[in-house]
Amino acid sequence: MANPPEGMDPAFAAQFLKIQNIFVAGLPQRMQDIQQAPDAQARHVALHRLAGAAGGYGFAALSVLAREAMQAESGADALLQAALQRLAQAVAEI
Amino acid sequence: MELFERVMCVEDDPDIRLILDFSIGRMGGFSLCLCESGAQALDRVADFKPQLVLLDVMMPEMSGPETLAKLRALPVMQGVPIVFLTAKAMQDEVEALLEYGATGIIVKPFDPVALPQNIRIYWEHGRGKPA
Repeated sequence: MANPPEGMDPAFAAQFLKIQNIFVAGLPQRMQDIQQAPDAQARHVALHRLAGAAGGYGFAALSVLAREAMQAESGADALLQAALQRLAQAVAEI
Repeated sequence: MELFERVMCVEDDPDIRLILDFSIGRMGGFSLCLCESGAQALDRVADFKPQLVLLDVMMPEMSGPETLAKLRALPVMQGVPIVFLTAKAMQDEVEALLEYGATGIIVKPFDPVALPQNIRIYWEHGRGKPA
């Protein structure tokens, strides 16, 4: 679990942790949407959304891994699968 | 002196809407109108009269640029800054988005602590200016 962002008023930190928990609870579904996307466009959108959301919730590394997977989409399938595996591993470890 | 009080956010991802509500609404103290689509924003804009709109780029059905064009055509939106919220951060992508007539770009992931001040800067510099 990540901590509240640096500089956040302690009065808001507890509220932030609550919404962070909501985000974390939805991560397995997000990962499933990525892995079971019906086509490349749907997978791209799901990765894009995860990249955009994760950093805001304090999971910068997850955001980077989602971006790396997006970049791997244009390359060999093996590279994409490896990137998705790293992403899934990171999600599992949160 | 005009006070900056009303912000409309248009974002299809519920997790990002949640953090926008937290950052802009609760931490920033703004009156916030959260919309999950461009169509919903167009329905609500006349009543809410936003002083600034934060607009996601990649949305299904009506994209951010399409929504921006429709919002800009409304009398209530004249001189109101519209800021794109996007995970597209490459320079050429940012330039292309600004050419649609946006006041600026806030890149996702954004810092929820800094966001209220960042939108205030866009409002102070962008309000009242033609697109």
